[in-house]
Amino acid sequence: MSGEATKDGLVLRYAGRERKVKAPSPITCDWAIFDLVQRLSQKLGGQLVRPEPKPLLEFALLEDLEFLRTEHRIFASEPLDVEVDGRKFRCRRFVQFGSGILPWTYCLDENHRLVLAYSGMRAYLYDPTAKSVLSLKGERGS
Amino acid sequence: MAGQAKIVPPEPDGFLPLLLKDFRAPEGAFQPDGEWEGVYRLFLLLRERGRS
Repeated sequence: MSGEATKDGLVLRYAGRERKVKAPSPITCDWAIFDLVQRLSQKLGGQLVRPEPKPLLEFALLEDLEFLRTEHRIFASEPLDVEVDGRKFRCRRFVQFGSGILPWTYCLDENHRLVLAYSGMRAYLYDPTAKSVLSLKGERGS
Repeated sequence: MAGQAKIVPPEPDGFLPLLLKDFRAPEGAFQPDGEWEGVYRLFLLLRERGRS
């Protein structure tokens, strides 16, 4: 698959076919949000980010490179404090709202690394061993 | 039952202590590089029947 941004949306090419998607700019896809929030946090640096009604980012979303979701916004939220077995976690938190999806919450550590993202009944948790598991599966040819 | 997803209450943030129970917080500097697919585990949170 390939594609490019145009002045009024996107052009996607797949299997010899071309699909034009009219969309407001800026536009991104859902899995790019993980990278996006880390860069956003890095840009904000160590400054205290207070929750405000004004969004930090506004964009359109092409979910699964298929479904156009508009009016997406990312806001700063209150920091997340969780204590588990005496260990304390404090994370910067962003929330994402927009048409067509359940809200997402993104939790980042002090190094701007996304450690947890959750929405509805799904959660993604940072796990550096996951990469080695994928490598092992690849080596075994499974 | 072995292999079955852990059942946790789905209220907002209520599942976090369970999710983070064995979590090892990463250390050191970090530079976003656009790669993320290999370093996250997906959890599906299920509501246990009979519980409110």
